[in-house]
Amino acid sequence: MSAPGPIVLVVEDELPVRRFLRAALSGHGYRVIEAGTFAEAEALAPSHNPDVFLLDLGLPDGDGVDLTRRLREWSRAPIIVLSARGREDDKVDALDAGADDYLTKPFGVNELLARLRVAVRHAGSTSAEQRVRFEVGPLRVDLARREVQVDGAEVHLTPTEYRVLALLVQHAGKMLTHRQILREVWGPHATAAHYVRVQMAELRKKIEADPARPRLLVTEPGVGYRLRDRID
Amino acid sequence: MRRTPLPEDPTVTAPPVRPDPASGAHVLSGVEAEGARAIPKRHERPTLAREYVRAAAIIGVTTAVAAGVRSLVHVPDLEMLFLLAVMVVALTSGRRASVLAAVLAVASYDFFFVPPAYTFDVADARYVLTFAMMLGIGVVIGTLTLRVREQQRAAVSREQRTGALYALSRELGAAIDAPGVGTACVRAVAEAFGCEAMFLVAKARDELDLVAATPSDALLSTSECAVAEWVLEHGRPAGRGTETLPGEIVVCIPLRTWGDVLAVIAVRPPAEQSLAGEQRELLEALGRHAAVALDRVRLAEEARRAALRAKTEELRSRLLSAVSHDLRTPLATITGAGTLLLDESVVDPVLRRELTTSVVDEAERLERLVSNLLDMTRLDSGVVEPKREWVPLVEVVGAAMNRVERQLTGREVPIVLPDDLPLLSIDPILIQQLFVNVLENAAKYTPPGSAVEVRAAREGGTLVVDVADHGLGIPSGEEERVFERFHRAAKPGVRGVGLGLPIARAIAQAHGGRLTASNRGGGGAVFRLTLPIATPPEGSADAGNETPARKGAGA
Repeated sequence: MSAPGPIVLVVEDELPVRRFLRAALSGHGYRVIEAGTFAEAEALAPSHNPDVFLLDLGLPDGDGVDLTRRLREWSRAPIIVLSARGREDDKVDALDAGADDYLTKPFGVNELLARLRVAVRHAGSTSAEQRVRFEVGPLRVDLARREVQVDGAEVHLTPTEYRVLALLVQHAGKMLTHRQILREVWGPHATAAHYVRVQMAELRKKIEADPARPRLLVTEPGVGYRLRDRID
Repeated sequence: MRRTPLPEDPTVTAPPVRPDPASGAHVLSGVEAEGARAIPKRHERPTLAREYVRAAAIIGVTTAVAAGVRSLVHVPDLEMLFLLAVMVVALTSGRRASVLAAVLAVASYDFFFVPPAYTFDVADARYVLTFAMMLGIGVVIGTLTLRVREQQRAAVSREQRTGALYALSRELGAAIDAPGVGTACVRAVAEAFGCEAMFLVAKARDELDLVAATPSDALLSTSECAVAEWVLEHGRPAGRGTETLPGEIVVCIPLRTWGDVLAVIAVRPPAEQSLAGEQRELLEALGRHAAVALDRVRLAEEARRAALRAKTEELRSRLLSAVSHDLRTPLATITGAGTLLLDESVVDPVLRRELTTSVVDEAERLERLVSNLLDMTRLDSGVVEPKREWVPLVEVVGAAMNRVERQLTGREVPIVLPDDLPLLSIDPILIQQLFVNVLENAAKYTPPGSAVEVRAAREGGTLVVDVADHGLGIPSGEEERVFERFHRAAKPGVRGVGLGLPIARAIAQAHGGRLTASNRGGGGAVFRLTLPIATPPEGSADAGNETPARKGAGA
């Protein structure tokens, strides 16, 4: 690789995890900077201007969600938070605070690299060149022409379903929380989370081959939804 | 009963004031107490008057009979007739009436029969002796008959008392808890005194709990609660007919074996009566019986708790040994494989890859175990209250299917969910976990490639979801055991922890639902989840009823 890889700031207090992340990332072309604490991260981030943040939510001297909020004040670089299973509320908080994605510990290298790839790719596309055409599996969405096709056949969506799908397409590959979808589609004052769930169920009926086994529009219970941008 | 604060410490020297509900004025309890004490006399008065009248009537009749007899035949000792009359009075009436009868007899005899007749003058001094004898005999007989009657009454009340106590102890013998003791006690008290009775058990040092009452809806007023609490605090009787708070309608007596007051009996005697003397003694005797029974019940309860503790302890040690075994096995593999990988003399790439794979596999297994243990502990301790949200079933099932995709590879998994299922009020994370656990269980215990079916249906107010497999089924009699912790069906090659199904069931129960296992006719097991269906929120039905937009609509 001729161009230097993206800079990743790893904020993690556990040394063994950091060692594993360093090995995994530098082996795949990333340049790794490490911080063990909230304070260290805040000090290191501006001077290195990282391309991606990998952030552990449980830091000894502060809350990872707070750090997310601080970083978002000046950086648009993707933030991926690391969190334990069973702490879904923390993940939602972090995503709502501006994090782009999360990884549940323990995770494997493949999962880590996949999430990083998505994050970096997203960061690379500026708002001007937002995707207009999106394709994954049997689903094809043309945002300019407001066209949705599954297996080549046109699918008719209600206006709300379309707005939800368009939002998911804009953020394909990314996790969107219930609150984010609610705010974007129903407005800043909407609170009834079940609107989102009902629309998702309807949407799945139209775009998924089997809504009970979603392949495109996956649910992370307690967190939100993700429209996959590639099917393995 | 809620603890109501005493307005002040009610003592004899400073009688408390209580509101008189009728007048709204405050009545000094002492004053009312005196009135209360006077009432029984007023009660007796008509009886006494009746006795006097009867005594006078009997003497009058006797006088008439004596006059008649004398006019027909000459009888020398007419005074004997009068003595007979006095005896009759004494046998049927009280002492005062017999004394009155004796006096009247003397007067009548003197007036009508002793010369000079129709005066109280006495010509012959002999008659004075007769008078004295009549009077004396009248009084003596009156006293004697009275004593006999009192003894008889005492015998009857003793018998009643013994009967009441016997009946109570028989009932108490069958009582297994404090309410049982209370019910037996109030029934006995109500039968013995024909009045309302309440049984209050001491919950804490200063808190009483009404556990039984006759009639069953009887309650204590605020001021009566104060009496009961005073009794709990001081361990002495209080209320009507006692030294403390005599102005109250109730009388409360403490129940104690030794040390603290265990309970309080509150008795509300019929209006304007108090329990005195033998009645109080009987009440206290009943109380003593109940106290002993209460103590016994309490000890039995403690013994039961100790037994439960021992069982919990046993379960915990079983858990610990199972967990430590399950933790050590993967750790042993990881340590062994890891150290081998460090050893540079092992160069065979196939072997190195095998070792690495086993490290990863065992670590994943450890992760599952730890997750399960955490889930179980949290569900156990009640930390996990389901965070209920309105969720379509298809979403949780879909999320669970995504998670078990790998385990179910190569299997047919038909999922049949009716289209018209309402939104469910469930914790999506927990219910998803439930399905994951049940599906993983099916994946583990059925032959690879065999189908697993998921079917949901609405049955009245409940949702029923069946997860049916085509394995060997559950050995008969084991349908409940599969939900026991660390129970693992003997199947070679299966390495479970034995927590998945217990967790799934705990989740179902936390939602007010059930998870049961059974065998299906054609072979294989069925796990059935039953969940109550709540009324979905507004807007859930029509949220999806928009008409599809034409292409380009809304632009």
